[in-house]
Amino acid sequence: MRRFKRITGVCLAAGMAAGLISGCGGGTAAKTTTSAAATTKAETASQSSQSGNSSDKVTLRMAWWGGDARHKALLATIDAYTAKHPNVSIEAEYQGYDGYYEKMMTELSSGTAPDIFQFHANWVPDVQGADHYLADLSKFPVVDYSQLPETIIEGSDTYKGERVLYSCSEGGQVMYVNTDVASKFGIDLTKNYTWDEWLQLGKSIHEQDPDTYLMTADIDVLNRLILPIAVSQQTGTSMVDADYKMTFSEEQLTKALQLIADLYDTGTCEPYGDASVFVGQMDQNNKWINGQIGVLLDIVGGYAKYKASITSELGAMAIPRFEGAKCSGVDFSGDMGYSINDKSKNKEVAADFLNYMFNDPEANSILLTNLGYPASKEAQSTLAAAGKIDKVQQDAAAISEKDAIKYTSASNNTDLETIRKNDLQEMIYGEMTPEETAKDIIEQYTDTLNQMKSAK
Amino acid sequence: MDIRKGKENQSAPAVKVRKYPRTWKWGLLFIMPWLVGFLLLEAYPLVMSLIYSFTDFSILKSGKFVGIQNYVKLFTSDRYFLKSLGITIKYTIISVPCKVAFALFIAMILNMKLKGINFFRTVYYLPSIMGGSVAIAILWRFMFMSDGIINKLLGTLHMPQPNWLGDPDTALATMVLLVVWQFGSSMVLFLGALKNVPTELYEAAAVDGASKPRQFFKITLPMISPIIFFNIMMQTINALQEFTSPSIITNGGPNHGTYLLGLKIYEDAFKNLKMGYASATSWVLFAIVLVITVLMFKTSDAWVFYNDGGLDS
Amino acid sequence: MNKKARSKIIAYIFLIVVGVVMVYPLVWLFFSCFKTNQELFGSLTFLPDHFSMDGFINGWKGSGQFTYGTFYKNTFLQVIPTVLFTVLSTGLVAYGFARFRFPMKKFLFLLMISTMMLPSSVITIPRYVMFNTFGWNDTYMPFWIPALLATYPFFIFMQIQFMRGIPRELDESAYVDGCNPFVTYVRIIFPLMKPAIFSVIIFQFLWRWNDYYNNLIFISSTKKYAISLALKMSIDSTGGVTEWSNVLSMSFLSMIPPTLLFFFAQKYFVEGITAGSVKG
Repeated sequence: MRRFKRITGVCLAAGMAAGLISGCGGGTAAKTTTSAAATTKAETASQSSQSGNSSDKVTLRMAWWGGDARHKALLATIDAYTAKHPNVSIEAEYQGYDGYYEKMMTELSSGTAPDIFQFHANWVPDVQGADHYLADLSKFPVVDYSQLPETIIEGSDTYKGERVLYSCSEGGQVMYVNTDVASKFGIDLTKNYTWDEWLQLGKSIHEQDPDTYLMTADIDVLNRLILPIAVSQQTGTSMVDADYKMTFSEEQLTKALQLIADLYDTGTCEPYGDASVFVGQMDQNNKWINGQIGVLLDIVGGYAKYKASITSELGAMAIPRFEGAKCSGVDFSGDMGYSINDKSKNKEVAADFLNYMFNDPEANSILLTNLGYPASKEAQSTLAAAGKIDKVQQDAAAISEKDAIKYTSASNNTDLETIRKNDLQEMIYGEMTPEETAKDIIEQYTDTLNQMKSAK
Repeated sequence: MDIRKGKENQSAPAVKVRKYPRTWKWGLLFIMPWLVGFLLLEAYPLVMSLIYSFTDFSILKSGKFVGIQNYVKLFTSDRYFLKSLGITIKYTIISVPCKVAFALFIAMILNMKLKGINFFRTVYYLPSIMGGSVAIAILWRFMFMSDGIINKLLGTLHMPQPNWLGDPDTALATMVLLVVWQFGSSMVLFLGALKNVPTELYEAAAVDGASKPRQFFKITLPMISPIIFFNIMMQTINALQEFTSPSIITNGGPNHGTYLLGLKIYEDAFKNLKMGYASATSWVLFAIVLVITVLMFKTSDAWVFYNDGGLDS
Repeated sequence: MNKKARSKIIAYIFLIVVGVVMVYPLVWLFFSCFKTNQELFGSLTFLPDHFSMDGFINGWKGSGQFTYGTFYKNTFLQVIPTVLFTVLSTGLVAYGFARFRFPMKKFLFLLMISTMMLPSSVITIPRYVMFNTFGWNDTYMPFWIPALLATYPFFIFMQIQFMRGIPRELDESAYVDGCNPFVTYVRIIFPLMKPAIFSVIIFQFLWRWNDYYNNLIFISSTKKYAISLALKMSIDSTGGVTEWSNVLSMSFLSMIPPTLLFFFAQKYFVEGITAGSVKG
């Protein structure tokens, strides 16, 4: 019995030790004090470095996602910068898109995020709304916003009055066209079709060749692109306004949903089940590659992968509109950008590098369009003059900008997106009519928007 | 020649040998690495996730206490929780027996003394080596898309060609096919277990005139029952949390047909930033898995044969 | 005898037919290494139009600072100690559970199994926070230490099941001969467990080799990336162009080490306990 006590004693001690250790991990109070101490230290450090001593060694961590071309371009940009600033070294942490968001969320929440990182404009409200994770770039005069259009700065880079993102690319939704298919079936790239004309065209193409469809769309395209566009064309504004109020009526939503149903009923769109295999990878759709699908919808930023995916010329054209549409319904905004970690100890240096990336002609000539269609006016014009931007991509950007609007961040909320996504699928699989779907979406929207409002 | 009889016979002579010390210090000493590992590395995350489940923790924002609200929401206002749970259970009930039976069947054949058997064993392990590679995603699409290879084959045989990945039910079936196809680890364990069946037992049975099927049921199955039990148990625990295959192949679609609970939890946790809610879902899943596991242990007394006369002797 | 020959032929035919289904994906993957993106996604043909080593050469170069040489080195550095630690630690723990009595044994066993029942999605964050306070992030400690501390219930349970197939008389008689339990494990049990231990090696090697998720979360420096991360490094689904021949070539190469390990290790795991020792 005594021995039993001893063993329990040991176990308890071990348990307590574990408790102590976990105490360190979980104790937010302890953590904040240390990090606060760290920031004060950092501030004194940066102050001392400001006072003339620029030879202090600084190491920055920088993260981004991308493909090979972007990796190479950014690494070259880093090399060019560090060649000029030998006291700075920049450790690159780059990866594919898969898992980047999860990783950033983990690192931000634990205070281990890199000093400077690539970010999606859509992520800003969730992240900055939760805590002050992203540094206010307007505090760093070295960051020159003058080349960015005011709409991008206001619409995408600013959160609660602070400039927390520097948009590196811009764009809206556009239709990409396989021009061989277009000439074969008489799709007029210069024309802005009405939805009725579009459905007629789609129907006639599918009737001429049962294996061919005018267009394809996966659930994300339907949910994030076609549906909001079709609603906004009728209302002339974002689906949800800045005060978390719905701007559309049940009839308007029903009309938009009916349009989606018609896309399938007329054979304009490739059957949903076939397209669902290629979610997020429409460029890998065998029918698209083989010229059995003429048109895809995506953002301007997707240009490179669609161009590379087919042997025919790629063209761009405007998304069809309802008759008497109040706007194109397209959300023209900043796409992705770069932010500086508010917990970074070297924000000054990070800001200087960030400015170099987007405003230095040398950096522009290295980066080209590897960070998407550039948002900077200066970069746009010099690259275009040098023939470094494809004409079609320029067209695509111009087309998507015409009569476009800017969606509010509330409109792009993840919960609302999920509601639409779930109900849309049920409608497509015939579990609900467009009318029922509209009713249900509005019901759920009302609940969620009330919650969002009260949380605010 | 029923080796179950051996169970009673064995415990009697065992008295003669001096058993391991009756004190528990040796046992505790041996399990100490795990015990330390548990307290040091596992306990904290487990406890934290339980705490999260009573908060609205969002990864980015330390949550506030919301009581059992997450749990209530799961069963009252979440449209997809019960659906997802149903699909997960269906998936488990179909995939686990198929995988274990197939693995055992192939292991029996690969256990034969044939020329080049090493090569065949490696070939049969290849699908498992591919794991959750991106290549699998592309391959599976090629096989099962509506104008894919499987349907081309079915077409030449004049059979119906379902839209495998486009229809919610058949999409789940292709997911089952994927895990059954990756049966390698179960097979390896069966091979090891089959080799451990003493050949004397078969020789004696052959002398007694027992037929092959009888030998299988009376000797092979009882002798490898610990590994059968292990495989069923592990595959069940894994299947109930399956996340990889739906996330690389269908992303839970179409129309939530492959929206397994593991995927829902992941999406809630990281995509929708509802870590508290995802934790609550996980603990409900935990309770379900735990109950199933305990039940399996209880039934195992009736059909799993151990050579050592019992875990607690 | 004739009957035996016939059953062998049937076995061969069966093995070959099913084997084609098993090996098909690998052959497909191999030929896909030579295809352009358009060939790969646009057609169902099995053979590529041209054979060129570009996919392998460009793929190996990686996309910037590091070649796959670095990634392979990292992976071996991460995986081999992890596998060795797993073998050492989980075997001992299994021995403790399979052969000894101690209080709360059933409870502790169930507790151990239950650590497998919570989806990793919800324990990743607290685990990350914890490892961060230990200063382990961006090192291989999150892979090595859990292996050293036997937090792999799968392997413990697996070895318990195999150990319980070994008659107690064998090791207890060694104990009678004066070996202490630890020596008994090393001299008697461990050698008898060879098939199980090689299964542990094969599985753990393969699973750590393919482990993407933990590498994603715990490793941030590109110079420390393992192959699982490197393979997805060039895939940008948001708009970048992915050279799939590079990706697939490297995927194909990455399958070779686990395959070789399996091929050469199998003679041990199918060896079984020798007939002589069982009689003991």
